[in-house]
Amino acid sequence: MDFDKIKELMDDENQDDFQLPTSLENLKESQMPIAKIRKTMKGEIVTQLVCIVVFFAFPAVIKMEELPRAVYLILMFVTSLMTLGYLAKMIWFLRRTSNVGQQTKETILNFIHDIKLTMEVYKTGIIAGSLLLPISMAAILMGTFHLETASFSEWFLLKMPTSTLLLVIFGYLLSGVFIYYITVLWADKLYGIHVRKLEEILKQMEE
Amino acid sequence: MELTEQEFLKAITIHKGIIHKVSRIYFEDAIDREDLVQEIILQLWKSLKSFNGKSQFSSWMYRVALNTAIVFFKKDKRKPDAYKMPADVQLAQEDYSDEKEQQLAAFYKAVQELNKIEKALIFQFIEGFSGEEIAKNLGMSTVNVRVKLNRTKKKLKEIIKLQNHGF
Repeated sequence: MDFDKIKELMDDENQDDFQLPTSLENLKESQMPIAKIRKTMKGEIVTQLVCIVVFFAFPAVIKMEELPRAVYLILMFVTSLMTLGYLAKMIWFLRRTSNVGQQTKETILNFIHDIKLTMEVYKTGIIAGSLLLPISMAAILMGTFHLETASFSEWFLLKMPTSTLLLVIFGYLLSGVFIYYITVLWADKLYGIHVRKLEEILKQMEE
Repeated sequence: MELTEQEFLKAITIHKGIIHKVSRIYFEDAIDREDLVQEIILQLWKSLKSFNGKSQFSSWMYRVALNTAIVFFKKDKRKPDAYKMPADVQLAQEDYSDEKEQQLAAFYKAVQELNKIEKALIFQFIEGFSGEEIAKNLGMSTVNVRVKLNRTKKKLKEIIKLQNHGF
C-alpha cells in the first residue's frame, strides 16, 4: 500500500464544501465525557441544595416535640455539612478546564484522575450523609407523632430489650449496606461508564 | 494566546483541512463527523489559552484535534432529528465519481476498522510526522510507536486486501 499516494489523495480531496462556522454561538454543547459529567454534576448540585433547604424547613412546617426536633436538626446539620463538603469539591471540579492541548496520554490520565477523584468524594459524601438519615428519619417520625419525650430519650439512649436492640442494629447495618451499593451503582452509572471508556483507550496505547 | 472569536475562526479556517481529515479518519457516518467537527472547534477555542506559540499553530491544531477525536465518543442512541447542524457548518459532499475518490473512500472505510490509537498513529504517519513527533504527541515511547505503527500498517493492508482494494 502506497501511503504517499494516500497522502496525496487526502490533500487533493475537494474541501470547498467543508465549511467551518462563522460564529461559535450556534455550536451545540460539548459531548466529551468530561462535559457530560459536568452537566450531570450541575444538576446534582442544584438538587442537593434544594434537598438541604427542604429538610431544614421540615421542622418549621410540622410541629415536633422538642427533643426529637433538636436531634433531627443536629443530625441534619452534620449531614448538610458533609453534603456541602462534596458539593464544594464538585464545584472545584466543574471550574477546572480540561486541557486537550497536552500529550494524548497525559490528557486521558488527567481526565481519569479528575473523574475518579470526584467520584470518590461523591461516594464518601453520599454514604456518610445517608448513614445518618435513618436516625434523622426516626427522630422526625417520633417527633411528628408526638411520642412522649421520655420514650424518645429511651429509644435514643438505646434503652430497649437486647432482642430489639439487635434488630435495630441489624436493620441499620442492612440499610447501610443497601445505601452503599445503591450509591456505588449510581456513581458508576453516572460517571464510571466514562472512566471505563477512557481506560480502554489507555489500554490500546499500552497493548 | 489571546484571539477574538473572529480571529480564531479565521486562523482555524486556514488549516481547516486538519479538522476535515481527522473527522474523516475517525468517523464514517456524516452525523458523527459533524458532531466531531463541532467538538474539535469547541475544544480548540477552549484550549486556545494553552497555545503558547512555541510550536506552529497547525501543530497545536493537530494535537488538539486528535486528542479530541480520541476522547470523543459518539452517541450510543441517536434521537431522530434531535439536533440540526447550524446552517453555516457544512461537511464536504461525498462524491466518489472518479477513481481517485473511490480509492480515498476505500481507504477511509478500511481505517474505520482500526481502534482510536491506531487511527491516530496512521494519520500522523500519513501526514508526515516523524516517529519522535508521534511519540511526543501521544505520550508514548518511540519504540512503542514504531512497533505499533508497523503493526497498524500491516493490519490496514490486510483490511484493504479483504475489501478487494489493491492500491
